[in-house]
Parts: sequence; structure tokens; C-alpha cells
Amino acid sequence: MIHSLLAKMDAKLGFEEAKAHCDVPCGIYDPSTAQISALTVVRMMDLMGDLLSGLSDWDGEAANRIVRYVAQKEEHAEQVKHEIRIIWGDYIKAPQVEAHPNVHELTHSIMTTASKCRQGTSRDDGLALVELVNQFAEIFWATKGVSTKRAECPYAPNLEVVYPKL
Amino acid sequence: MEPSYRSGDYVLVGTARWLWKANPGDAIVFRHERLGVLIKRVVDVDTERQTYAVEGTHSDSTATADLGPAPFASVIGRVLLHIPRRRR
Repeated sequence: MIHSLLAKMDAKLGFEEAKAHCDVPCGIYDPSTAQISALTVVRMMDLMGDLLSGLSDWDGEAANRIVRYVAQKEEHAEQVKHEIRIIWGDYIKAPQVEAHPNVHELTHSIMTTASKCRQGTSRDDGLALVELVNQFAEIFWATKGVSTKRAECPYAPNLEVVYPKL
Repeated sequence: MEPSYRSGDYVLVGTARWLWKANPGDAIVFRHERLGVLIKRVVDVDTERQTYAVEGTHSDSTATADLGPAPFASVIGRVLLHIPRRRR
């Protein structure tokens, strides 16, 4: 009965929550997996485009390749969402949000853009995803006190990537 | 901090630190710089460094070895009353 009463008060007033944090906090967070996955999304879009533009007739070989490209695009777009969600949910706390107030909006943009990449084949969406994840990486490294640089990755799709200056 | 505290339980926290001091065995609520507001049990008090060593009551619970000691200044309060959620 007391708990029910408190639950009603909580719903109205919003008591502060204390967590017991029983899982093991390994403390290992790094946006590089998300960055590589975002690049892979663009790479798969490019491979799909190359295949389709040079295709005169569909055959089993072409169908097999396009299915594999789409499957990889799906998997890596989802991987971007997964990796960013973990950093955002487990690592980004009030002090980081205070220093980088756009991080929530940026994270949401990454979620929606990655979904667009799953749904379609627009290279512009893929490029937007790479750039958003780059911005997230810049915020992440700033919270670690590590400066970053932007450089073209030395492999296809040869896009600009944020690297930590360690 | 299961099994002592379970998700959805309420605790009444005494925040007037001049009225009390936490001793080993007491549950405290404190702000951790990385993990936010936590509830843990005090296992030791370091009056020289002004910190508490803390632990949970579950074998997998994170303790001072992972979290670092809780500075006195980070403590919000001591748990005075525990109102558990009704178990079905």
C-alpha cells in the first residue's frame, strides 16, 4: 500500500532514480566500429550501383551478388545503430551531455539515417550517415580529452573519417 | 543491488549529512561521475581520504574495485527506509 502510494507520487513528481549498476562496466567504448560500419554501408551501395549499371541481363550470379550486398548493407546499418546506442546509453552521462548538448539530437539523427540506409539505396543517405557518425566520434573523443583529425580513409569508399590523435 | 534492493523499490534517503554518518553496512546513495546516481552498501570508511569503499549485495555487482571509492562529497544521503515493490 505504501509502495502504491509512492508509485503514484513518483508518477506525478518524478523521484530521482538510483541505480545499483550490477553489470560489469568494462569501460571499453570506441566509435570506430560504428565508423567502419557506416563506411561499409556506402561501400555496399557503391557495389550495388556498379553491378546494376553494368548489367545487361539478370542471371543467377548477379542476383546472388546483389542479395549479398543488400544483406551486408542491412547488417552494417544495424551495427551502426547498435554501437552508437551503446555508447550513448552506457557511456554518455550528464557531464558529457552538458558539454555537448546536441548529442541526443545527433544520436537520434544517426538512428533515423541508418534506418533510411536500410530502407533504400540512396548514396546521399550513406554519406550523411558517415558524416553523422564522424560528428559523434568527435564528441566521443572530446569527452576523453583526445583531439581528432579528419583524413580520407585509405580504402574504398575513400571518404573522410574522424581519427583520434593518440 | 539485488537481492537487497530490486528494480522498482523505493528508498527514503536522509540528506542531512550533519545528522548522520554512514558506517559499514549502511546503504548510501551517491553520484558517480561516469555512472550517475548509484545505491551501494558501505564496507569501509576512510576518514583520512574522506571516502567510502562500497559494494553491492549481488555476486556480480560492481564494487569499489571497479567504481573507485565514493568521496564523502559525492554522497547524496544514507538510506533510512526501504519500501520494496510488492513481489508477485
